[in-house]
Amino acid sequence: MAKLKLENYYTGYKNKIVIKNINLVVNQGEWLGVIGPNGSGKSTLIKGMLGIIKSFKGNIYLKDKDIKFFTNKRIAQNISFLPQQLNTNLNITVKELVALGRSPYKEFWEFDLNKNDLEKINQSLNFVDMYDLKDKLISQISGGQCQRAYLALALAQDTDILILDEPTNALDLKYQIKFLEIIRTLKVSRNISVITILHDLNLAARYSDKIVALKDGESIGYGSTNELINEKFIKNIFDIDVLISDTPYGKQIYPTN
Amino acid sequence: MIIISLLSLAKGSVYISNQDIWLAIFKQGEEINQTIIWELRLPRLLASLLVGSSLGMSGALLQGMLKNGLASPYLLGISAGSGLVIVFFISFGLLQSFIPFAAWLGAIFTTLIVFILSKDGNKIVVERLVLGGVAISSLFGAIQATLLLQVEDGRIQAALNWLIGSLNSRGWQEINFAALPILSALFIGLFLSRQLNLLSLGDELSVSLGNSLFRSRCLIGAVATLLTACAVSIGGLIGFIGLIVPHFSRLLIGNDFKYILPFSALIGALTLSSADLLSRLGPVEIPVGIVTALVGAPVFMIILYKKTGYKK
Repeated sequence: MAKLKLENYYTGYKNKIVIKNINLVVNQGEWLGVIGPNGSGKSTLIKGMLGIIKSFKGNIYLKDKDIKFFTNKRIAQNISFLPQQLNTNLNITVKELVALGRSPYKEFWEFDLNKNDLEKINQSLNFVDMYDLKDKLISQISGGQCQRAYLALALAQDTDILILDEPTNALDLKYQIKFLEIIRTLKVSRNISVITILHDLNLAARYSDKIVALKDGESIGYGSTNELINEKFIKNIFDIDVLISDTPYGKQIYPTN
Repeated sequence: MIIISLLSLAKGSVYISNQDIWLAIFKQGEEINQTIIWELRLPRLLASLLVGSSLGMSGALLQGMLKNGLASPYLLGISAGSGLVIVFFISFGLLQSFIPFAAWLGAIFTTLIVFILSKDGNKIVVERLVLGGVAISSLFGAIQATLLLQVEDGRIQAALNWLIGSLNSRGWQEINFAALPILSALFIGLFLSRQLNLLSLGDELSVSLGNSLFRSRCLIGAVATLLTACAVSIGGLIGFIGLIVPHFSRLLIGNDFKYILPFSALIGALTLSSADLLSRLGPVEIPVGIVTALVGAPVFMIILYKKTGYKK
């Protein structure tokens, strides 16, 4: 089932079109990797999907319904988001942060967390292995732990689409893999759809089922990762010669010059 | 708070004992005490509590919304707007009893201009909000200074009393006018804590958690403005409470706005009533605005120096 579908989609900022004519579908349980050089419009595309910026032309369908008719709250009940820049200097505890993930289900005057909320919060904390740190302040934990705390926030939102913008940027190699493995487990066990922006092509190739490549705001390749990734394709996007080999972890890419 | 309240009722140019206070409150005992309590000290105490809690919460709301620890309730042009109106009324010797309402209108009107200036499509641009406030403030400040230079000596002091902020001879009239809006705005303000918490996560994440930036900024701005405008209509431009109290509550109870907002209101009320008490203990009564600034400025410097206040 198509969870998210973009049709001839255009968006951008204040009279400046950034994203042009994008068509794509993200199905249930599918991982879509968005790749492309700096300034190609990856983050803008994601902001559009989240309803942070408005569509100029074309449509986004969320579970077959036009997203125009969704309130922010309804969108938040369906899509959760982990931004690239996280505020790591908050003097609230991990648990208080994760509890904010229940906001989309709360009315203006509702402050108490019910049993279901608490269950979701604890589940999320356990899933990212942060339960023991739940009473620590955000400002006191490490970068990797902070990343996981914010992921728990997104999980507490209890959505079936998860969008991640450069989730591995601040992490060392071990935590990059550990973090993406958590996402993969999540994808498989809960059958959710995942959309990531990943700068590291090897990670993108290793984890994505599908890839959309952007250049100057336009899609220059969209399809299954295995079919799409080849020397010519990478040269076309990034203007660099590469060698590609098949490994047990999917296709890996080596720049040659 | 109760202690300060009692002290505040007791102290002044005439000391009234605890027992007599209670008698007077229930309209018994000496008539002179009754008059002092009911006509002078009680309204003044209530005024200080109302104004203090308004400024405290309004400061917390704005610091949270603008994510800037230097934001005070007066940042969005409120001081300039009401200050100008006050000076205008005083310098032309217009209806003095009309000043509180006029100051209130001036405050609301100016903030409205600043908000309209900061609107871009259906977005509120925070930088523009702050800069717009600064620009309007200097413009109105200039006009205000020009007016002040023209007026007779006696009136300057009356104007200064308002501009520095004083609770001297505030009576039931001012309180009747402002109490209801203040209490309802305080009440609504308490419900804005989640939106402030969400805003502190950053714009994008807060939207992806279902928050509407435009709506929450307008709502927070409106409540903060209403609170400040009412406070100004009672006490004039009392400084530093709205700036320091939120820092102080953050220091005490962390960054969760669920606690910061009520705490700021409470500490604001406490601080202003104590400051007012101090201001009339001396041989000559000084405007309470001077006391808050005199005590507040050093406290603020200590907080800044320790860097335990707001961090981005």
